[in-house]
Amino acid sequence: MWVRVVAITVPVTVTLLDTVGCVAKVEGKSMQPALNPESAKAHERDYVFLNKWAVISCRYKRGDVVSLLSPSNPDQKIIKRIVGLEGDVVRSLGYKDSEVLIPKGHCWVEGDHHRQSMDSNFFGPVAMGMIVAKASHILTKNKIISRRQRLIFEDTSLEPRSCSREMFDASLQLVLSLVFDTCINS
Amino acid sequence: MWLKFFSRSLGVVVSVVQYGCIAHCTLEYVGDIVVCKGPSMEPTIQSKDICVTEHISVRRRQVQKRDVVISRSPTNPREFICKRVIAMEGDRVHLEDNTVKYIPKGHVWLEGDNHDNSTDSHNYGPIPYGLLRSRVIYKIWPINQLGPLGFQNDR
Repeated sequence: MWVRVVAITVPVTVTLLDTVGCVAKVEGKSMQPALNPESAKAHERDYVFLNKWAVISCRYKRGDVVSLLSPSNPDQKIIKRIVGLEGDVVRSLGYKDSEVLIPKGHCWVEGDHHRQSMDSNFFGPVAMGMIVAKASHILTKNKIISRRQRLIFEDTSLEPRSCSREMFDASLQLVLSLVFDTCINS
Repeated sequence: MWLKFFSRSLGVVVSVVQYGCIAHCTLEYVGDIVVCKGPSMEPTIQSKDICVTEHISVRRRQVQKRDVVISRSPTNPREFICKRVIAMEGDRVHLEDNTVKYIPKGHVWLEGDNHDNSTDSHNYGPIPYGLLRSRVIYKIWPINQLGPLGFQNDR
């Protein structure tokens, strides 16, 4: 009996995590102040919801926060903001060329906290195929209301969700306990 | 009668979802079947040949030189390309114009077997390992060429 249960629940869970999205913990300071504003305290890491459905269409806007595989280390996932799309000319902050024309199928990603971020200023434009998910919501247990004010991204999907704080906290606890969360470095 | 119809159709939907999820996991983590188009891998793979690929060695970072791999196209994230791995990170590639190119960390150098008609790393440089998707292991169509992928292009 339990073999049957495992044989059903494992594929269903994996498929949901692959196609709908998952929750991931953000490490590092490179997306400050949007993510991990008080990064000194280890227990105040931000959790983000990674929307994987948005990746299928491969349509991104400037200002989207995305999770991508690091070009220099395929085992590491990083979270950055898309600054430029294909065809744009970007003035870089410390890349080998001061102005970069982004080639076809590529984008320019940067962390919000420039000096603490390993981003396109280091490795150049990245192929859009490296993007694995779009960060659509921030889930934080502490100080949700005050933190929400800080999340004014260009993307409307990052606006506060319409649920009360208690409900949100409860559902978040549930989600975190159920969903196997991965760690992404910003 | 309606209740019976409803419960039966619900059962069908549930089993379709279950088998869909199992299929997704197999195609995403174990292996799948691809139809290769285009001339870039001739003569190893002709256009419209059907191949079996596996995802395990790419996920476990066990891709080696000379493996034929499926990768996302760096110029179009919706397209896939089928090429041969010529060099891994840290290797040197000797280009035709007598320059030497070092493959940076986390990257691979892909080339098509058909050098005259292939858009590969000669055009867009080394590509990040994260774009690789699967390794081609077996050719199943045309039926007279059934078998593991050959290494006609031994260089």
